[in-house]
Amino acid sequence: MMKDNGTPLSRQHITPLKRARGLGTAHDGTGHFMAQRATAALSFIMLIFLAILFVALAGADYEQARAIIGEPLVASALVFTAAAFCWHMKLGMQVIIEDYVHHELLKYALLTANLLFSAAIFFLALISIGRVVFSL
Amino acid sequence: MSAHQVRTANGRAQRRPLSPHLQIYRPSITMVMSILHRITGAVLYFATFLGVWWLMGLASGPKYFAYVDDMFRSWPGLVILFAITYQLFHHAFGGIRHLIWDADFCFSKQAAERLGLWSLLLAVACTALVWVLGWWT
Ligand code: HEM
Repeated sequence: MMKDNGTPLSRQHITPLKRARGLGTAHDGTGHFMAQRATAALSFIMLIFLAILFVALAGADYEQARAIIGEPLVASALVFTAAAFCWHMKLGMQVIIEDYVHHELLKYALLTANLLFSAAIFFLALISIGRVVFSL
Repeated sequence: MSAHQVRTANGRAQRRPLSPHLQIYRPSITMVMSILHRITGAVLYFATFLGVWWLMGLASGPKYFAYVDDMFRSWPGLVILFAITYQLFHHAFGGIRHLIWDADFCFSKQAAERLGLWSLLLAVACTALVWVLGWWT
């Protein structure tokens, strides 16, 4: 598999990442790793938006808060934030479970619960934001 | 602590050395930050429910919203919100540190320690900034 061992990197026609993709016991470890990084970077960008939104909402009453969240641009950014966070936290909790839980059945039960919880958080956010937007 | 009772294949009890574990090492900032990254990640995982709860309150009308909002604005509520804000920034800057390492920078001992310190300072500063701005506007 590693027949190009010893060849300088510049002479190999695949990158180390390309070679690593699809290897490992789960066959998708590299994909998981890259997705964790991509969603981390997205989450960081959305965190800036979230911090500003948090400050804007700090002094807002019910009507004002609905007006702010109901703004299409704000609502879209918030849905995007929820998507980035939920995807990232699903991947992160998966790593924690795989690190600590070695009982097969319990592990798959927890991995399933992790997927359901992360998805539920996203859909609750989506539906709540949608209800505010479309009831204005 | 440094030996562990095991049973060998022929059934005899034997004491064997253990590899060094966490309590052997003097804590360093990189080590503490690494542990805190995982803890804050796990806390934030469940804290997302609070954000969604607030959004559900906002979506379901003025009465339920007042109930939810009052909880968040009570003293225990504010303390919890503050703690979550800090953990979010701590994890975010700690995460940026990971991304810097993944891009193969700052791997020397000194650089890694400086990076840890900077992410800590930035997390404290951002938390303070957000709460000062939120409080006075
Ligand atoms: C806002 C910007 C964020 C950044 C830049 C970020 C970055 C990262 C990175 C790079 C990792 C991988 C660490 C490793 O491989 O050891 C990670 C792990 C994780 N993140 Fe985040 N994250 C962010 C936000 C969040 C949020 C909002 C949540 C939860 C709602 C979260 C939950 C987690 C969890 C549970 C892990 C797994 C922890 C571990 O494996 O030790 N993160 N994060």
